[in-house]
Order: sequence, then structure tokens, then C-alpha cells
Amino acid sequence: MLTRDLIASQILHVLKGTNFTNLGTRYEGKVRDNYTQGNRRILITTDRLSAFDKVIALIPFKGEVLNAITKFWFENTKDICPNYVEAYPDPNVMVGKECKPVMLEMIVRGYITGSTTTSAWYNYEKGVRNFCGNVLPEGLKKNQKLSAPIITPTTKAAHGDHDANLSGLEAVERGLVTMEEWEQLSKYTLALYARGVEVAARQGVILVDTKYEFGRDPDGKIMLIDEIHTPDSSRFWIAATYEEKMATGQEPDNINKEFLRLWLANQNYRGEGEMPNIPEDVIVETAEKYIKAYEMITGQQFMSQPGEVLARIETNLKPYML
Amino acid sequence: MNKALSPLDGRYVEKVGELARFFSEAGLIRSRVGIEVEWLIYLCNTLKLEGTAPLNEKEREAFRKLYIEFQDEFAEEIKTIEKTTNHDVKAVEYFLQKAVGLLNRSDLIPFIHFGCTSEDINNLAYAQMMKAGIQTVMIPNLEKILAFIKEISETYRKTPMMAHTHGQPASPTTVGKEFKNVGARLFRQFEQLRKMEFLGKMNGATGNFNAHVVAYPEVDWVTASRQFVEGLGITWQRYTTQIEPHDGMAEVFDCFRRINIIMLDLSRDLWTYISMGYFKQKVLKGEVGSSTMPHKVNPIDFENAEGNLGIANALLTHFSEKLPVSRMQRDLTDSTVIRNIGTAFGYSLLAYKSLFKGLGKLEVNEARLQEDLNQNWALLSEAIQTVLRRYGVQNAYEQLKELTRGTTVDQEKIAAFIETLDIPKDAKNRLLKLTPETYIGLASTL
Repeated sequence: MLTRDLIASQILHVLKGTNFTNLGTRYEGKVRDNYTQGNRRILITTDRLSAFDKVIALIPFKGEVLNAITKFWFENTKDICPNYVEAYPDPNVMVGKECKPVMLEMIVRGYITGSTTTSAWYNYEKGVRNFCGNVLPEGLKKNQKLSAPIITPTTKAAHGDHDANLSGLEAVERGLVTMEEWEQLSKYTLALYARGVEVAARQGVILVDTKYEFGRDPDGKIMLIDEIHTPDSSRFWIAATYEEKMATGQEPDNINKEFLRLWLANQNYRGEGEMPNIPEDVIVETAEKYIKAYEMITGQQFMSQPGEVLARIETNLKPYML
Repeated sequence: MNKALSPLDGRYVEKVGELARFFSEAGLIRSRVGIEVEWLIYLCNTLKLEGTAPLNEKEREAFRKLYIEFQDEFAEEIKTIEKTTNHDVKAVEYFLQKAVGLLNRSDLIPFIHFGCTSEDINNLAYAQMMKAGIQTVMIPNLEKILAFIKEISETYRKTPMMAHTHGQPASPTTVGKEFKNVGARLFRQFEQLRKMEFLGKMNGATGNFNAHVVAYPEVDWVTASRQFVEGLGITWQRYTTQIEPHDGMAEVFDCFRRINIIMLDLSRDLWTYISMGYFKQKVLKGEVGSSTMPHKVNPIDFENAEGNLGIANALLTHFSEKLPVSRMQRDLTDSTVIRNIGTAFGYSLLAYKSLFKGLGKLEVNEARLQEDLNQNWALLSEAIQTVLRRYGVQNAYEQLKELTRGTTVDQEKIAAFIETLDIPKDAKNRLLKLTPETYIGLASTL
């Protein structure tokens, strides 16, 4: 684990964004800057942290951490499902194939949990016994492990995070995917999740549920795109205390990605009006949470070369400049 | 297209035609075929009803293709059968009887539409159509508008603008804040819309599983019904008469009605601000404003939106008042009215698209905004009299009334007045520094 002082000194070098003029057509996502060059896409994960639908802070090493988690998992799953990455030229950068996204997000759940209206537990508690095409037995308790993982796809919302649940058949019926695609995606989803569960378990971490996005490469082949098994796309619990927490009716310990959002909420900020100033120690602590998440999920130590990020990226991306 | 009776299917078909996939007659038939197919598969494969043999994977796929890859000819064929049966749901049943025959599964014929009243199929078909149409077409178009409004409110967060109450100058606001007001209203309604449930039932002729239980007393039909309905992505109703009571639909219609009213309010405001010169409209190349007055750029997009929102809401109002009412177990008044639901969504969508187009053409006319602010120094009278109150000045309101009503007040006159006031120096300085442009309160930070 990096020291707090070292993290603090990196604040000077946070990667706010990039504006390369010779790297292709630029598109700015919430967290990533994307550059398209024909059939190739260069994805630069910045240190932007977004919440309440906007960028709220820059967190040192965050881009590198997220990129490293995704790299770890892509490398560990490419034998079961091809992914779009072709190279990792820099700790913050992935170079991948330009894919046409499949208009369906594949969510897979090994446990029945959650509190939002689209979550499995919320619906189960309301009495739903067929959730997105999966028949659920009577008598399940919150956070209980399901006898087998279930797939609950959602539509991909164009704006905001307002995806809606649906069953695989509904997705096919609406023409979002074909029957064959649905079957292929389901197979990949279950296999990826099984691998994720297995690898995370070695570190004493439970991969509770997660979301995959797929796309088709220029040859029409289905591949895994976006990110995989990151704290942003997944829920992780701590295995060591899970049984005890279940037995005593408490919520399982988790790897928390909401630290800064909760801090802001405690300052009575919920996305409206002027945002309170975020002190340096809160920024550092947020960075620590991300680094810790990397280490817990992957079982590896986070190694980084502190210092100027943007210049390093520019050097490493030289071969890709047009 | 020129011969279509309704403009939705004629003049505007390019804008709203995407809804036809869900709400047209063919869309309805397709949806009915889907429910019948899934019910048969459910009975044979999940419930494993005695006397049925399950459909294997290939049969299931072939059978599901009947609705997933629904062909125009299927609809034609079903319409032809309907001419003989004079019953639209029965026609679907006959169509499927033929289809299972072609798959060499004539043994399934008795189980097509098993235990169902037509309404069991219809209510689920309509629920699915509504759900799919709203989620795939309506919500994305609404979100586009909201995203745009958010963007405008951010861009013009600090751009001061004179407000109008009763059409008269009032304490200034900012352009961004005015949009933010609308965004907040829409957001609240969208949150409700997203939570809307689509309700459905599958419980036989009068809602009591009478026939089911007589034929298969050993089956738990209540659980089966629930499992089947939820499997379609629809919220199950335990208590119904012959028909699903349509209260859930009314909730959805009412939610759209409220959304449409906000959109209408926005359209009129933008129209008015354009007429006052607060906004200009970017001219699209080739577009003609008036047929006789070449200089004109009319706010047609907002007018189109306003007009169509009115039609949409007239329909939605009728639906939500009519559909939940049915004599005793049922009458057929709902059946003919419900066929029109796509029309209400069509007029709404048309309006949303016009509104979106209009928003995209807006350009804030900052010079005009400043001009109005600079000519209305009387706007500061509220500020001054409120400060006077703070310092206990007795007739603050009256003093300002005297100063401002009926005469033109400019910066000099205001400054001279402030100088005469018996208030602490720093308060006086604060007032002297104030201009209509800076008297915007918290508008830019709210």
C-alpha cells in the first residue's frame, strides 16, 4: 500500500483529462477519454470521479487502479470470452478494437440482495417469484446465496443511469438481441461470473453480482467490452465475515466504492447547488479505498510510479499518434 | 401516406412510425401470438400439465419465432381467419392450431389458449406493448429532452434575466435557473414514470380459475398464474373480474399527462420568451418562416409541440377515465377504446420531438436580456425596501411605491434615493453596488 504522503504528493499530478489532437476522434465519457481511429479505440482512464451525474473530484491513482483491475480480469478471462483489448501501452490506457455495443447489459447475480427498485431483493420482498425470467423459490433471506446464479438483463439507457429490468425473452422480442445472441451472451456471462467468483474467492472476496457489456468487433465477433469486475460494475463482499453477518441479520461487509459520495451526503450535498470543498485528507482517503479495493480484489500489490501522468501517457502513446 | 386518415400515419409517420411496431394492429396481433405461445410452453414445459408432452428446444425455438420474427403475412392470415370467426383472439388461436400442426405437434392443439378467456391474452398483450413502447421509445426521447435542459441550465447558470410575473417585470433570475425549474419538475415525473408497473392477470373467464380447477384440481393455479405473468415481465394481479381493471394503465396515462402538461408549459414559455426577443432561433438552411413575410422565423416547433400535447392529453384523459370503468364483470367499451392507446403516445412523441428540435435551435439573446434589465432599475425596489425593513424603517414599502410607480426609474434616481436613507453605511454601500443584473439572489447556485 502506498503511503498517505505519497498519495497526497500525487494530487499535483492527477489526470483530469486529455486533449490529444493527433490521436483520433475524441469522445469524452464520464471517466474515460476515448479516441477512435477507424477500427481501433484508445481508452484513457482518467482520475475523474463521477457521482450525482457529474464529475465531483479528481482522485490520484484512480484511473490507474481501475485500468489495472480491468486489465487483471481481462487477462484472467480471455480464455473463456474474447475481449476487445489489444494492448495496454500505459498504466492508464487500453487500446482496443472499435466494437458496436450490444444494446443489453448482462447482469448476473449469485446472491439475492440490493435495495433499488431494479434489484432482485427489492422485487423478491414485494412478492415477485419470477424475476426477469428466473423462477425464485419461496423462503429466501436477504443476501442469501442463490442455488445457481441468475441473469437479469437490463436495457442500456442512453442518458443517465436509468436502466430497466427485462427478461431475456423480452429483450429478444423487442429486437435488442437475437435469440442466438442471447444464448451466446448468457453462456459468456455465466462462464465469466464463475471465473470471477473463483478468482475472487482466493483473496477471500465474494463476487456478489456484476454487470457485463458486450459488443461486436468489425468482423462481427462478440466480445467483452467496457470494464469487468471493477468496484463500479460489481458488488464485492468479504467472505470471512459473511456467515457471521448473515447469522446475526446484519449486512455483509463490503468493498465500498461510495466513500466520497457518502462523505458529501454527510455534508448535506446530494448533487444540487454549490458542492462543498473536499479537503485533501478526504481525497487521499478516497484514493486509499480504491487502491485497497485493487489489492483485495486482485490479491496483488498496487505498484505505481508516482509523478507526471499526462506526460508519461503522451510518451507511451507515441506509436499510436497519427 | 397522403391518404392516411390520421396525420400520425401520414404526414408525421417518419417521426412517430417507430411506435407502430408496438401499437399497431399488427403489433397487437404479434403480442397476442407471443402470449399464447408462451402460455402453451409454460403449460407443457414448466407446469408439465398431465396430458401434455414438453416441447423440445427446436420446437420451442420454431414456435417462438412465430412472434419474435413475426411476419406481415402472419397478420394478414390472422385477419383473414378473423373474417370468418368475427373474433380477433379466436383467430389467433386458429392460426396457432395450424402452426402446431405444421410442427407435427397436433397433440398440443387442445392446450392452445387452455383455460383462457380472451382477456387473459389481451390484457397481457397490451401490458407488454405498453411496457416495451414506453421503455424503448418514449423514455429515451423524454430523457433526451431532460439531458438537454440540464445542459442549457448549466450553460446559462449565471446569465441574468428579468423575471416576469403576471407578464410584468419582476425580481431578476437567471436563464439557467428558469430551465432548472423545468428540469426539476420533469425529473420528478420521470422518476414516477420509471417506477410504473405494468399489471396483468391470467385467471380465466371471471377471475376465479373456475375451468382450470375443474380440469386439474391438483394444480396450484394461483402460483402458476403468478409465475407465468411475472415471467413476462408484468406485475401479477390476484384479484380481478374478467378483465384486468386497467387502474395501472390509468396510472401510466396520468403520469404522461402530467409530463405533457409540464412540456406544454415549457413550450408556451419558450414561445413567449422568443416573442420578447429573449431567445433567438438559429435559422435552418432552406427552412421558410412565413409564406409571405420572408423575415420571419416563427417558433413553429413549440407551436407544434403545444398543439399535439393538447391532443395527446385529451386522449390520455379519456383513457384514464374510461378504461377503469366496466359494467359488472365487464362490458366491451374498453376493448374499442384501448385500441387507440398508441395514438396518445404518438401525439406525445411527436410533441417531444418538436420540442427537442426547438430547444436545439434556441440561442440566448444576451444583449436583449441586458437591455431589459438596464431599463428596469425599479426592480431594485424590492431589494431596497427589504433592507429598510431589516433596519426597522417604518414605511419602507410605501416609500418605494412612491418612488417607483408610474414613473421611469433609472440608476441615478435609485442611487439618489439610497443616499437619502437612514441605514448603516455598509448596507447602503451594498445597495449602491447592486444592479438589476446582480440582483439575482441565489439563482446561479440553487
